[in-house]
Amino acid sequence: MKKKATRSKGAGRFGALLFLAVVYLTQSGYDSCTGDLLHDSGFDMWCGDQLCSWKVERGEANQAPTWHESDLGVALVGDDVLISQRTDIDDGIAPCVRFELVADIAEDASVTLQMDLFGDGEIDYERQLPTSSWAPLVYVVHMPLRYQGILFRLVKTGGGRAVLAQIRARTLSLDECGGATAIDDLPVPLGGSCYSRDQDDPFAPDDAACESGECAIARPAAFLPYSCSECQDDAGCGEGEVCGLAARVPPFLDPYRACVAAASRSMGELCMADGECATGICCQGWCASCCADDGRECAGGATCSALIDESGARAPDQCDAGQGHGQSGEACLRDDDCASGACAGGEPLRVCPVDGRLCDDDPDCPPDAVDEGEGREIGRCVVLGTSGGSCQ
Amino acid sequence: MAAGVAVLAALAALAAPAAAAPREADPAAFALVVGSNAGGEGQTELRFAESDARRMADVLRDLGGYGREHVQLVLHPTRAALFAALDLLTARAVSEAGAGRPPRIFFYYSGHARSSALNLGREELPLAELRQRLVGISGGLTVVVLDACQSGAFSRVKGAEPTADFSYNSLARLSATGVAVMASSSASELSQESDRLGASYFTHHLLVGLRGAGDSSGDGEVSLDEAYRYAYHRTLVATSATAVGAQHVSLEVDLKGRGEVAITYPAAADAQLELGARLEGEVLVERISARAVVAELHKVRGAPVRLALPAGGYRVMVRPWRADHLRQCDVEIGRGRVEPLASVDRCDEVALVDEAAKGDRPWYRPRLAAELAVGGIRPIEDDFNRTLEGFGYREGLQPFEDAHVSMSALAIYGPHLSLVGSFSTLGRGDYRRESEVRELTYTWQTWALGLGARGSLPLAGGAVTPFVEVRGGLALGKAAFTGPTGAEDGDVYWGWHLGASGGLAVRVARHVSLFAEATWVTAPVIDNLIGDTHDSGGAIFALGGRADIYTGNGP
Repeated sequence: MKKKATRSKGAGRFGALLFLAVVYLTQSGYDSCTGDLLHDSGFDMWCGDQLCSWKVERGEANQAPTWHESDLGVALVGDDVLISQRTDIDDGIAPCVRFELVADIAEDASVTLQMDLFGDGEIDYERQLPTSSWAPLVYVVHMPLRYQGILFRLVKTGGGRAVLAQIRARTLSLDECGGATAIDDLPVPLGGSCYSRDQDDPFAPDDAACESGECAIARPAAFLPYSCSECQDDAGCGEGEVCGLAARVPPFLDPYRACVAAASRSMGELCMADGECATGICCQGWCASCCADDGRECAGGATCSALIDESGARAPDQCDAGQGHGQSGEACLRDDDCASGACAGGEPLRVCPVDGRLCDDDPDCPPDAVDEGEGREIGRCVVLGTSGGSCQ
Repeated sequence: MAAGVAVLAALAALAAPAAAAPREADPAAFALVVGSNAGGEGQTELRFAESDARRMADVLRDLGGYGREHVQLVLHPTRAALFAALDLLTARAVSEAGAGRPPRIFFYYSGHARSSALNLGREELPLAELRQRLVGISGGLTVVVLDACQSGAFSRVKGAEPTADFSYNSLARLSATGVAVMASSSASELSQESDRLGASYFTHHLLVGLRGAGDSSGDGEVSLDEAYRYAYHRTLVATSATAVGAQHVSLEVDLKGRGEVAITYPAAADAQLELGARLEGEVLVERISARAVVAELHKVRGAPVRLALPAGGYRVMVRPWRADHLRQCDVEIGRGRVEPLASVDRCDEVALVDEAAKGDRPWYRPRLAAELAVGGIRPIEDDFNRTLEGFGYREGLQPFEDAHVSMSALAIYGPHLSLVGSFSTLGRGDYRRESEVRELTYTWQTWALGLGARGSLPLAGGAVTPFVEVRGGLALGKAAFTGPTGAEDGDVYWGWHLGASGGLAVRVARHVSLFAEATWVTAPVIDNLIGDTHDSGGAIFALGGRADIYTGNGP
């Protein structure tokens, strides 16, 4: 049995749509002044010999003069080069994208422009750039009805010269999109938003949009709680499983409901139900040792509270968190939880402060900060504590 | 020492022969002297007609026995003003005739003319009317001297319509009983001015003759016939080497019952310069204070020549025959004295310094003028600009970015041809691109340094002159790129430019014109690494002014 969300009562449809747009805009790298979707379109930002805004995933990318020896482009060196840049944009902001660049591509080199929508590793758009001598190249793409985020990829093969400059991607309105190549509508992967496109009820969940066929509340406290999911409730899961939360998702996507082994989540990990936490308590979306919100207090007069990490990451509710009262063998998150000063026994618990999802490195997180040196938005992955730790 | 010099000077003054007592003015002598530089339609402005008239008036007053109040000097007159002057002349003459004193009338005109009329700017005075006025003054002697011009060309030619020569026609129309007419040129000839003399050839030599050089009889008077013969020969010799050609002075006399007619009385002048009998060669007498040539004569050995001159300091330059040098003496002529210059042995010797080769070939030293023009340029948009735009640059808006300034120097070889050297600004560029680091800028400026030739077609007496010009030469470009680091990277480019112009000049003063011109210039100078070359030329529209800075030495 599926749970359906109730319609939002507090805001009118227009206001809700406007708010929705503002939320996405402030969370994305989109520059509303210029419409630019990419950072450093002119390859002007170099961190030493490396591009600052583009990630060199394979091969080598070096500085190269363009029309003027001091106006630099990027030379893709070698016969297998991949550079990429992520753009946190969605179909609400960019129904159409204009991609342009100036390129000097030799006949014995092949450069391909790729777009990975949702950042799920699937290449949803691909176009080989023609051989050219500093010709401006323009591609206008009619984006699918639903997508979240674009990973722009430029792939070079062949040993010939390929120098790129002035790469820009800008949003266009549908009116400006006439005649553009269209990407077929895609089913939304797990973690993608699955709201109705019905203007009369834009916040209604839409199971049909999801590749999995399930649109479920995955973030109860969020303004937009629905994500394409594997399950709606425990009934949709196997024995020994509960319908919990998948918290390790690509940055463009959100945590989603998934069948997880019962009592498999450590303190500090995201959760949906008590049954998936090793502590047996899921408090305000985090596996915790107590829950001040619903009255599950600590024994022995200890205080139930949550610490806020200096990075801004929220820690779960704990008994006497950070007070050093934990005795040997008791569950802990950080060393200062323990009387011995040592919390050990598990891997570091790495989370994105923005929403608590699990991560391994900064690029795994949605942007939540601005790099002071480069002035661009970045995601952060911080160590919250020890996953499954116990006081020594 | 100074006192000694003064005593010697006084003794020298006493030793010098005294001039004859000044001749008293003839109460029945009246002169109307008219000068007009103004040109009519199709005629350029003359430069010396009015100054010639002033000098003629001075000679008549000083040497001709004409009272100061009896010489009317009328410069740049309108037709009405000239008629008024003629009316006054007629009234005075009639009054004298009525008192039993036959009037002596001298009419002099220097200016433009066509075959049937004198040109007074845009107005005309028909010769028939002038004849009627002058002949109508009966009972006396009327001497008419006409130094008439028609069009100013390369050497400000006078009477440019040879088939309808003024002098020929004027003689035919003006000669009558009691009238003598001397004209500056004969039929089919042109009359000319000389920059070197600062006068017309004819009037200059006529005046030198009237100052005494023409007194071939040595009687202290210069008769009409003597003046004519002197002016005829000297004008002919002086003009034979000019580009326009020889000029023959003409004289038509109908003075029945009369003997020699004296025009001037040099012996009665209050100061004279006597060139000694042994002195020979080409003699040039320059008044030092005015730096003006007052006499240029051909002195032969055997008889002295006296020139009646205003008292003052003079520089006498004598070039002996076949000599390769000049002798130069400074002479002070005191009032009431005859200053002798018996020989030039004690005069300074001055090398000729190529002067002989250039003296009568004025086209070697053309008039020079300077021009300044300001305006705007409509720059060319080409692949260079499009490449910049392709790389994300947008054209900036800088103040006066499209302003154009041009400075030129002109060597004017006549009314139709000038050589032009110019320095001008060409196109500027200012392109900018926003980046996340800082604004990137690329700017450039281009200049042109060139030589050209200009063809002109003076209209309405040079008041309006359409012109066309072609030119070419060097082009210099300077560009600067400011990149994301803020460092400026400058480049300098050299190339060539070609241009063509057309315009219209309007004369607003004698030596000043204003003009408007449109120019097309191509100057492919600035390039980029991709291989685009920017043409910094374009369409230029400018307004400017031109001023003569050297009048040259043309005839």
